[in-house]
This record gives sequence, C-alpha cells and structure tokens, in this order.
Amino acid sequence: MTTTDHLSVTFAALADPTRRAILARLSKGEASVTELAAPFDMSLPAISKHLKVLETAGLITRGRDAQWRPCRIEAARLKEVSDWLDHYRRFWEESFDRLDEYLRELQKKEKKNARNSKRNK
Amino acid sequence: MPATASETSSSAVIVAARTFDAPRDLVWKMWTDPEHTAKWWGPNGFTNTIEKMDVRPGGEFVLVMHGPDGTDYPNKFIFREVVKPERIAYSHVSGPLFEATTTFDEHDGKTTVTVRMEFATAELRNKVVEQFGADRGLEEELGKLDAYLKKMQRPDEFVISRLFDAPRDVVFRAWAEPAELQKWFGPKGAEIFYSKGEAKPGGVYHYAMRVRAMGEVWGRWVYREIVPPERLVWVNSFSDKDGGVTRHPMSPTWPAELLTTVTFDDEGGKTRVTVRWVPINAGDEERDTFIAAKESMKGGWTGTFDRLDEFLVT
Repeated sequence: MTTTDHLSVTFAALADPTRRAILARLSKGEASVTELAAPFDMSLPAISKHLKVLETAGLITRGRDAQWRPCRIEAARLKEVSDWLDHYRRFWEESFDRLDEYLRELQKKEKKNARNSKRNK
Repeated sequence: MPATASETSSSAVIVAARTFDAPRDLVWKMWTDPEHTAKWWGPNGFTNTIEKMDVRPGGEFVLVMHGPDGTDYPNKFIFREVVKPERIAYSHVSGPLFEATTTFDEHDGKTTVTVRMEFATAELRNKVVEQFGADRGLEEELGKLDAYLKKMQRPDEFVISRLFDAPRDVVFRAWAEPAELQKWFGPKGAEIFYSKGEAKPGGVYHYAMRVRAMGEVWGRWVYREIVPPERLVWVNSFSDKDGGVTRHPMSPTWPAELLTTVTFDDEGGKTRVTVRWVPINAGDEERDTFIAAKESMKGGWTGTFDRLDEFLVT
C-alpha cells in the first residue's frame, strides 16, 4: 500500500466514534473482545466487525491464541494520523510567529516615522 | 436548582442555573482555564482580559471586563474553595462585595451549573440588580457559556488562536493585503514566490509557496466576507498553477475545500486572532476524514504517543 492509500484507510477507520472509544480503551492496555464490548450496547459480532476494520487499518493487532485473542493498539499508525493535523497546527503556529515578528517590525518603523515627523515640525 | 421565590424577591441572594449539553470536566475547564473563561465571562457585549487566575484556595482571579460602550471594569476575586470538578467558591473583593458559589452537577452526560451570589444585605443585592442588572447579566453570562461550549464541541471545526501586541487595524491589514501576506504567511522557512489577488467578496487570492519539506505548494483562497477590521472569510484549497482546485497530495479524502474564518478581537489594545477551519461542500468521507484527524489529536490514546516518544528517545 502507498502512504496515500493507507492514510485514507486509517482515516476511514477512525471516522467512527465506537472505534475511537475502542482505541481509547486499548491505550490503557490490551483487552479481549468481551472486555471491549462491555461498555457498549452492542452484540459481540458487531464489535468484532469494528475490530476487523481497525485491524485492517493497522491500528490494532490481535494475539494468535485461538481462545484468547487480545487486542493491542499499534501506536505507529496512530502517530501518523495525529501528526497529520499537528502539521496544520504547526503551520499556523509558525505563521503566527512570523506575523508576530512582522507586526513588531512594522510598529517599530511607525514609531520611528512618528518621531522623525515630530522633529521636523 | 432554580431560585425560589423568596430568594429572588427579598433576600440578599441572586441565583441562576443552566444545564449544558457537555460533560462536567469540560464545563469545569471552561470555568478554571483563563483562556476559555475569557471567552464567555460577563453579560452580553462584554469581553475580558484576564490578568491573573490562580485557581486554588486563596488564589487571585484578576480581570478587566470591557463593556460594550468601551468602559473598563476591573474586577478582583479570591478563590475560597476549589473542589474539582464539583464546586468553586470565591469572593468578589473589588466591590460590590459578594460571596459566590458555583456548583457543577453531572447527569446523563449533561452538566447543570448553579451560580449563587450572596450579598451582605438585601439592600445591596437590590441595588446591584437595579443599577447593573446583575440578575439578567448572570443569565446572559450562562447563555454565552452555552454558545461557547457548543462552538467548542463542533466536531468538524479546527480552531487556533493567538494574541498579538498590535492594534486591530494593523493586524487586519497584514491579513487582507496580498503584498503583506507574502511577508509572513506560511511556516518557518517558507517563501511565497507567487502572490496575486485582491481581498474583496468573490475575489481570488492565488499563491505559491516553497516549503522545505514539501517543495512547491500552490493554494487558492476565494473570499466570501471582508469586514475590516473584524473578520475575513474565505474558502481555502490546494490548487494548480492555473488556479484550479486540486486534492491534497497525500490524502485523496481530505476535504478539498475548507471554509476559513479569521476573526480579529480587540483585547485592551492588543488583538486576538482566531482561525477556524470547517470543511464545506464536503461529502461524508471528506467530513469524516477531517473529524478523524481532529479527534486523533485529542483522543484518549494520546498517552500512547508519549510512551512511544519516550521509547524512541531511549
């Protein structure tokens, strides 16, 4: 998969509030399907479907044990997504830094001009 | 807890309550984080500059309320009791003197806030009501908090804000004139090498930027509103050299058009600039992409990244 493809798949997986809640739970430690289903008013198969989407997106991995297949969060993929908007935040923050500097220079010049014109009077 | 008839007519107390469609922790934050509190404190038409907000017993809360007619009202409170996230009690010590208690009750994901202001005498209370409309003011304040919370919780809105030490018309000009924009817009090290357009409703600003990590990036703004020196609204998108709208080079489902609203608020001679982004003309997939990116920033799993960062450092 190219970067572009997997970002879109990850975004789609994260677009659902139930799946985001599952990830929030998993950030505290691994859990079984039953444990993950407990806070939701949902059947086990419905939760399994959500887990499948998260797994396909690479956001979680599941253990091999046929009985107990604990889900685990995969931080690397999540970090890519978090970096995404963080990139925009940085874009604005750095623009603001530059604007701040620019406004300071501008006002310094204005004050200088005002002083000079006073002196000329 | 609504005010009882006896409390409103003949006692020394003013009470107001309102239920907010928001979790208690969030409402608590609105009351105790100066960045948020400044946005809604006071009756309609008032803005605030918070000079000090030390939320702990004995801590000071010092603010200047700016009235709609330009009059400044300095205020000082001392926090008496801070029980997160249930209750704060504070004394207004800059006159008129009163003791206030604000309680936060959560039920079914909603939060009821009750503010109770107690004056020394019924006469003083009545005077404050007659002269300043304090009872109506308190209701309006809770209304402003409600509006602010609703805005905050919009899942598809990206907001960023900064206070600049320059008058509002100067800051506005830096945004509205392409020649000025060219001097500062873009991240550190970026260089705008093409900048053409005119800020007028329906006008187009077309620019090209050289960014170290990404190379050449072309973008275009289509202006919707220009209200000097208060507000600029435009539709933001990536573009090609000819000014046609293009997709984000990295994510085809990223919204092609983001409505950008920049507001300029005067805060005691300084200027607060707030940039808001909301996807427009977006399909479900684009909107979901935007929300997912936004939610990932504040998701409960952010701790995971901290751990990952630690791991990568060691």
